[in-house]
Amino acid sequence: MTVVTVTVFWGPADPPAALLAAPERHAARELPGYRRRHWTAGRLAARAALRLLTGPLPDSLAILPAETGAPVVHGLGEGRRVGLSISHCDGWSAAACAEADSHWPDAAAVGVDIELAQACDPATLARAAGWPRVRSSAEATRCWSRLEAAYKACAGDPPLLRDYRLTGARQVSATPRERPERRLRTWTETLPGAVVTTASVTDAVPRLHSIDASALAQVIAS
Amino acid sequence: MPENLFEIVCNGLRTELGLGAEEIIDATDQLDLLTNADSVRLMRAVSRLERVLGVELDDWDIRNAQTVGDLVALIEAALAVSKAS
Repeated sequence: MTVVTVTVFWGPADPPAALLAAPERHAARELPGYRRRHWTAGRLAARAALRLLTGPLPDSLAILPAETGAPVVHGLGEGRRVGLSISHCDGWSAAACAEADSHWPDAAAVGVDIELAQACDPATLARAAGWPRVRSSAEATRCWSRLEAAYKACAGDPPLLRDYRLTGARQVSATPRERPERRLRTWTETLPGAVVTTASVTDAVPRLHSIDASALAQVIAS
Repeated sequence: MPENLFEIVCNGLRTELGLGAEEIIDATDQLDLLTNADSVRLMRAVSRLERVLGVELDDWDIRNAQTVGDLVALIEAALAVSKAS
């Protein structure tokens, strides 16, 4: 089982919407400017991640939002089911993907979260997740990132952040009321000024690719 | 109940999203599409509003709030409950 995570640092550069498929560009145009920029940056990171996971991308590929807003991969090929998660924060985008197989259909459940290194603080984490013990913004941000990634990997009807527990250096357990427990693994990496976390139901260590924005078009088209 | 609740909510959002006072926020605006919005900043805004207004919102209700107007309505309902109790 392979999980691929891609991070892209854009800085102030505008992500090139021309690299998106026509339906994606159409969806982007519906968004306000700030969100459109993040949306495009996330889609491009997703295209790179899919390229690295599945090989050359077909022209028919389009990553469109489900009703929940979660990204869904269309046109990758008959019978292929790839799970995809996208995240963005100021100047960065990230995407993670994994492919289900007939032996393990749930293996495509994947989540990714990227945050600026000091984005969260202990009080906000305590409010969202009920954890009073975290002392620094850096630690709160890493915990938040793990929770958010796990939340996204529980796509569909994910438990509340309050229902998650970090049960080990890489384990997250979600115990929603009146529903079965879900266990996930998380991998958090430190980037310059940011952290990225990938969550997966598998034990596969994600292959992390930090791609320069100027090289992204080449990766996507390769 | 504060008469200017909508403005209080908008100011809380502006503060946490780093927006200027000139930024127009409409009741129908989607929370996650506001400029600079992300999950941490929106949670900070909710947390700030809970502190300022002395209410505690339900996590499920927060998750289901789509628009600024939804958030105002949630806080309004919480204020009404706290006043009645």
